[in-house]
Amino acid sequence: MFGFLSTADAQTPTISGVNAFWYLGSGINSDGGYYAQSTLTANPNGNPGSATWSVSTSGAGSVTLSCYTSCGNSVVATATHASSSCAADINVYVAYGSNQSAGYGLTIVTPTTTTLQSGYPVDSSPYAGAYESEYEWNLTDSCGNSDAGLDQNEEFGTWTNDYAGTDWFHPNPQGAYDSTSILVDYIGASGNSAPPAEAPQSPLTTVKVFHNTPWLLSVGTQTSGSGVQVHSDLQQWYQDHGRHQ
Amino acid sequence: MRNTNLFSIIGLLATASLGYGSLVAPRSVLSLEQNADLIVVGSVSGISQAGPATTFSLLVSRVLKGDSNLSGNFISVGWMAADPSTPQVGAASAGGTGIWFLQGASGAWALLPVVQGSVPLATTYFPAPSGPILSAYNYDTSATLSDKVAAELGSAIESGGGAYSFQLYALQYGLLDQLNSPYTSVLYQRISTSTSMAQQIIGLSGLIRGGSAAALSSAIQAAPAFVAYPKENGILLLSVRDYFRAFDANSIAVLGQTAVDSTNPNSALREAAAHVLAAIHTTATLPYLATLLGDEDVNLQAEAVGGIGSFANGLQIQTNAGVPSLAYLQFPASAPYMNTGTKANFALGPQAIGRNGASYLSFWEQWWLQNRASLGF
Repeated sequence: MFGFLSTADAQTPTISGVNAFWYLGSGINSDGGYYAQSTLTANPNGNPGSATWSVSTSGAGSVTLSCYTSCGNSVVATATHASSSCAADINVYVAYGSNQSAGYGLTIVTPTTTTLQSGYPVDSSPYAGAYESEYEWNLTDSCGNSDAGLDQNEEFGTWTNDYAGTDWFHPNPQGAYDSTSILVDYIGASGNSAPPAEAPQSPLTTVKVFHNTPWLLSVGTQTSGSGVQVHSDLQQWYQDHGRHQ
Repeated sequence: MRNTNLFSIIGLLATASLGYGSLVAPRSVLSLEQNADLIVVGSVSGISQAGPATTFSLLVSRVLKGDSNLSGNFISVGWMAADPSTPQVGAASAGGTGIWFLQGASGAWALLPVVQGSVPLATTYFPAPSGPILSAYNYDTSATLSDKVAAELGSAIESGGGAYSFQLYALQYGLLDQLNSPYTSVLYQRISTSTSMAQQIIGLSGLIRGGSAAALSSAIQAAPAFVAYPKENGILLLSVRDYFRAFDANSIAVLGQTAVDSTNPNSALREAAAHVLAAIHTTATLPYLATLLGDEDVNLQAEAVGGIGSFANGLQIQTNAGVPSLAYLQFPASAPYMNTGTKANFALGPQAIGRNGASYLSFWEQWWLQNRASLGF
């Protein structure tokens, strides 16, 4: 006897590989230890020939594969959109001839939510004639877990001066790598001008100086405006404090 | 409020009129240790600023890493702010004492800020009181660098008496624990019995992150009083939710009773306890999770659906460290209770409940009724 299997002898092919990975924004395949790709490997189970790979979706999740027809036994799946929730809404199939595998479910997870930590914002005066308002949010994902160790960035929208004749400069967008899941933003002012910045008063002043909208906070990269947006609001500078509204 | 006593801020250099805003993030202490060429306890004794560049003198009192002969001497340090629009002033001639991380070599030291982003100078080091280290944290010159840093930070935190400092509080999100030093345990043990409620909460939080069931019980008993300390309470809740993963019978009972107590108005604590149960999802957690399927709080329902589904499908325990790999979502080849139904109805998080909640709840209620006896309940 020779060791060749005919198609009739072959069994249904199967797929293995990491069945949950990340969507971190368009074109971002990894950030820190977070990966937006998975290598899927088919076991032909005796089926001859090349593999044909396909994808079906039942929600918002989507992936592209590195090969669809006349492929080898392994392909790389790259996330292009997060799943609708933390549940598999993508099925990947592999076929050898007319023998097709069962669907291999994939879940694409993404950072989604910022929750203001209790006790924040904190208003303080780092020195005379200056203020700092500190915000801390905890970042969680579509599976409800906290996501530490991601890059973050901010993007400013339209600036509007609320105080006639103000000469306060507008800040530049920043990015940073966050070792924790806590995202922190400072709003501050200093110097004597129009109007003079003040330490936080009691009660806080209602004098608005300027604002920016939308202020966008994203993670997955330090490049401003890229990655996955996880927060959007209006950032307001008052004379003695700042607020996200 | 920031503790201005620690910073001893009395000076202000002339600056332009500025509104500034910046994402900031604490650096990991491990990375600071590795990337600094010189780590000292010292005090700022002078400062000058020209545009975005700041230069100041630092009187070194102790050397943790680098040339120990610098102790008792002044060194000159330079710093270039991340964003020129951020004022760099904030430490002045009479103060700015703390633990400083520096790069470079003698004569050309550059500040390695402990916080990334556009922050004033006062936020670039760990504030600590001048004078000797608290005796409980004394260390030998032969101690490892991590132990030296942990000891100095422990002394600084305890000396702070619960006063708020962003740099020191940020360490309570797991960064201090990464040093894996016995001095960190000393700190948490000591301040967990502090007369300062704020410090007590920080101490218990650290012990909880280390898996102490006793600290968890103490924190839950004292939780009503802790609510008056919102910042510290936030750290406590996150420490429970994201780090506590002990699954001994006592821990499960404490977590379970907390999660299912519908008379408890502290929903954040209930949700944190439920999240831990779902993350652990051992057999012993199932009766509590099954009870939560019928709770009015959708977040508790979501934890129940996720936890029971994780058990049935044989998934790994979810840990904070395992989040990036998503290993806790990797289905095994087989598991005693896994079938096409359990896989099709597996979902985690409130988004899943929001999309298909009734269906998931119904499935897992039925699953529990059908399997509880075989599970010993």
